Amino acid sequence: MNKAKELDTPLQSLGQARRAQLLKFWQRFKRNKLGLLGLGISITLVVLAIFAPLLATHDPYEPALYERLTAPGAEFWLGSDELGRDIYTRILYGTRLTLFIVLLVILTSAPIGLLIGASSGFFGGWVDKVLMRITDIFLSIPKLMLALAFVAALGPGIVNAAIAITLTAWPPYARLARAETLAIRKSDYISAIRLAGASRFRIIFRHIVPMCMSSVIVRMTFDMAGIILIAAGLGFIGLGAQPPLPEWGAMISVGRKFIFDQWWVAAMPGIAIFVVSLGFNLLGDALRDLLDPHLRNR
Amino acid sequence: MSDVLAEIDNLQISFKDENGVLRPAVRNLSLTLGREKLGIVGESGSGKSLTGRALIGVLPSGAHVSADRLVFDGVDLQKCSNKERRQLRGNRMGMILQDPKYSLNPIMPVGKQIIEALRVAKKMSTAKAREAVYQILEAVQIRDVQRVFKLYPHEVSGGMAQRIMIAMMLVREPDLLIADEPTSALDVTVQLSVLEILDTLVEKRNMGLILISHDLGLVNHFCDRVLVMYAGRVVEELQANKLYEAKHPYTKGLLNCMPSINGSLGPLPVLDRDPNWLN
Repeated sequence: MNKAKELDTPLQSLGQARRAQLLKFWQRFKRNKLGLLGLGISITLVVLAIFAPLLATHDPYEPALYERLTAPGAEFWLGSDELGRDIYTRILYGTRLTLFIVLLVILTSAPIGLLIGASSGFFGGWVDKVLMRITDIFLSIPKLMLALAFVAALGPGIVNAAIAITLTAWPPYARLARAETLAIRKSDYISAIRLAGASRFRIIFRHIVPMCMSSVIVRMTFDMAGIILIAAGLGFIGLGAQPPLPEWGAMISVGRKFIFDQWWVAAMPGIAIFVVSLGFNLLGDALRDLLDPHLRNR
Repeated sequence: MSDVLAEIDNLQISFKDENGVLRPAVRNLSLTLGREKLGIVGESGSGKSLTGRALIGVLPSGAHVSADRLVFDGVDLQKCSNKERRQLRGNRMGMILQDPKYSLNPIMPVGKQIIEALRVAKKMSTAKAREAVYQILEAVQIRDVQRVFKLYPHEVSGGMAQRIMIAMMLVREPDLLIADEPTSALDVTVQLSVLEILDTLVEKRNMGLILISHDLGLVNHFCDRVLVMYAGRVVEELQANKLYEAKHPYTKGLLNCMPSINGSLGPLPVLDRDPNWLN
């Protein structure tokens, strides 16, 4: 007897629909080969950071003075630096510092910017004016200069560098969140939740901030590259991570002295910075193409 | 509980124009509302929605409101702090907006939104809130509530969205419900079922209802009493079933503009506006 295939329950079919949506998102993402490359680089970075001790061939801190400034080869894959430390190992451990700074900055600056921008856009009036003028002031000073000034005030160190970068990184988020909020706050569903008696606090946190998230996420991925560069810049000047920490910017700074004879000391961490920021940029590009409704149907 | 739920006396709502001159949108409006179904009809821009919104306290920015009396169930709304008004909103009075598709947060599952509306008022365990949501969704005749609970607004139909919106406002069991053209975005069959739901719920819970509408026929069937508004003022007040015996020329004009299935096939008459109506 031919029995008809039993239908799924509505709840199951809903789950299937959601999974299909996710799959479709992934397929759209896959079409962008460069974005895929960016995602690959970002994932590799995270994997390397997690498994750094397993993948390392040497100790990142122990000097070996007889082997200083060795050219890249079988013993030192990417050469050794002025204290005979393996550059490959140090770059590997440096991924942890890079990720640490990037995450710290992103996780602090995006919420600050979101909060300031959303309140500014939602309340309007003098709140908006004051908050936006403060934002303008921060935006008008070059980022690295401002970060420099903050680090100089706070004292050098990796956490202070992250704080300093945070203080320079929030204004674009505030601008972005304000623009989004202005578009959202007049919409009917905000009226509807006001009619239900929601407080302003609740409206901002539960109904406006989530709507800003997609553009903020895109902005974040773009920002990661910039943050890596500023962190490296601070390290290069000597105000970021302090020796003997294997921070990429600081490593380049050391290599500067040997740049004509032992190019690998500066070049290797430089390449690392280049590849990683390129990866984040490509990822950000791909995400923007996917999440931005204006670009979606092109 | 008194019989009079809301009382508005001499309400004025005006907006400043570019030169800073106040332009009235609602003038000298007075109404009393018991636990009944009151219809407000009139053209676009005659101040129907503004009147409803003034009562509930959510007006567009820049609106200037004044009234001799603005009382809801014994509470003087003009003397209330923002916080007290907010507690009245939702708890004691709710409002259903016109376009259901835009009145729901597009990135929040509908069940969660109804829970939001519940939690605004009081803390509640998730399980309990969920149970309440299932119940209210069933009350507005939605099947498969567990599935609908998890749907996003773009995944439901317009009629469903409107019913969800109604559920969201009814879940707090307000005493007064203002329905601002609740059915104008819906097709005729869905309109009827939505109105039926409203009707039974209003009856069952002994609520007051203000139905704002363009649709004279609908108001005639559905309401107890009708206010006809023109240019920000009430021109006539009628028993709903006597709507067709209206005396005011404006109401008559509106009625004449309705095509009738047995009527002539010629063009419908156009309203003649008499400036004297404003005096």
